[in-house]
Amino acid sequence: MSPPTLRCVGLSRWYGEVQGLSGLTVEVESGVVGLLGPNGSGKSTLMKLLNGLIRPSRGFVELFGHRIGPDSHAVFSRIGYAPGEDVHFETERAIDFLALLARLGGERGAAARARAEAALARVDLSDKAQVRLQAMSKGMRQRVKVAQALLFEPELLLLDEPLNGMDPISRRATMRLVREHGEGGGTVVFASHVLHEVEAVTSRVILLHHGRLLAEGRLGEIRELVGRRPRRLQLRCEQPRRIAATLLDEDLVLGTRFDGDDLLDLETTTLAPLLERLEDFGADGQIHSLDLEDEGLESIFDLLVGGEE
Amino acid sequence: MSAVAAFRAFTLRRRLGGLGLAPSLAVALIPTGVAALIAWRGAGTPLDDYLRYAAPLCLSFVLPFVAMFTTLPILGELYDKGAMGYVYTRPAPRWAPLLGLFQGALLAMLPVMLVSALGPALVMMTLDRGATGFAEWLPAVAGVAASLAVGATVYTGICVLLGVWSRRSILWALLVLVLWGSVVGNLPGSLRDTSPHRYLTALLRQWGNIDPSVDLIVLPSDPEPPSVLLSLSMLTGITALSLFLAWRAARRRDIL
Repeated sequence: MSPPTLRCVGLSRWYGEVQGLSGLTVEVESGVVGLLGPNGSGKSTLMKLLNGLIRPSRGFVELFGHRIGPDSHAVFSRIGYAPGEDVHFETERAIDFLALLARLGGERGAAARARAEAALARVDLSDKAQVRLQAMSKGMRQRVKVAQALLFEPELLLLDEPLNGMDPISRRATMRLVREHGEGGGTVVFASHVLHEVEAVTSRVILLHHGRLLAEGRLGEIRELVGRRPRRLQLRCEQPRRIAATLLDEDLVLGTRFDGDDLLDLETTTLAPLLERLEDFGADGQIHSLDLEDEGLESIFDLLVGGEE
Repeated sequence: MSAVAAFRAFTLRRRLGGLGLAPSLAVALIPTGVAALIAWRGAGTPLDDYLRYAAPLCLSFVLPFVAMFTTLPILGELYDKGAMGYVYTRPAPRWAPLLGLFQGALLAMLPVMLVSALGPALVMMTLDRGATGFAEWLPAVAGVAASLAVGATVYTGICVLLGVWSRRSILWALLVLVLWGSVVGNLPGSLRDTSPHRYLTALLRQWGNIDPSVDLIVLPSDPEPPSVLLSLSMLTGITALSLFLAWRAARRRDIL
């Protein structure tokens, strides 16, 4: 049986007193996986640990079955990494920057340049090859970052917030590229703090918060997990106090709150029976509108994170 | 190796492009100004004054500062901004970009040190009006330039180590190159044997044909200087050790 593409075991990292990542154990197979978490949740720390750029305080990382350290050159040839930090080789032209990195990867003169040109073409920046990075927009520099990660057609792509600052067209193109890489048998770890970005490229997620693993699995499974947590509804209705009393009597709600004469906020863990019961009130014309708290991924993430705090 | 050559070319582009060399050139021209002042006052023969004043200034003052200005900013930018992350995630050993950076910084530094050695010589030769023959000037200037080239190699190696090893590399460089170098290297006693400056001074005196018993500006007499062979061996060892330790430090330093 072949080892997983990526395996972290008890991975921890502290920055002095500050905990960057704590006891992360996770495995990633081929395909795209979203690494989700708010700023400071440990996404970039994890990315750097995966690359050997920082050393773990505890635990270890295996990529393709090999433990990672600063000398893992053979493994690095199979990885493409786009850091969260800006490009920083400001005075370099895009083509020279990529050719430099291609040469660091072992390619020589013309071959390195050809590889750099091909990578720029993949992110639709061929016409900007001679532009210095300092003269590019943030979005363009982000695409250059993605291009350098693709230089050697890696098996594993590690992308740290790659869509930051990109315009909508570039975002769509980059997301397509990520999906294609996963569908083609490669592995992509796609870090983001924006859930809908991740939803656009994958259904598999790892959720990090305060350096700890909050949840892991398919988005559907996480939704199910969320389904057991209290949900909020707001009714615009007649006689809100009578409706609230009925629902409390029937144990369909955990709590109620009144807002003015016609607004009623409800909190429940039994959403489906509650909605059925509310249909009865609706049929009597007592309920004018019903707003269910946003079921989007952002609210799911907020709920999960909120539950941890 | 492609990775070494790539980083050498990158370092050269960084140093030679724009105003990258401006601070180094400003420092390198100080001995030329001093030479003009001394030649104008006419204290001694121009060649003697060149060897007594300008050459020691190049070695003790220009060399350490130009090495710092040439090497440390590049490493500082790459490490402090996290840009080394792009470099160290390539399938190349970490010594490769460091060796390339060392070579590139050295190549960028050599012409600056040549300006430092040639500038005062040209001023003094002009004011000398041919009293001292070119045949006497040439070996003296070549000797000074050669010792400065060796010094550039050693100090660039030390700067690469400090740049990789510490976030406060400028402070450390001032301590190591100026205090351990120019100050400790001039102290009487055996402590100066630990300083690369002692060996560089020995090369300067022997290749520049300067009497070791004569006091030079900022360089006291050294009646029993180390031999050329010993000096070159020590300086080669210090450079190699610096680069080795730089590689070790690069393997351990986190890229945040």
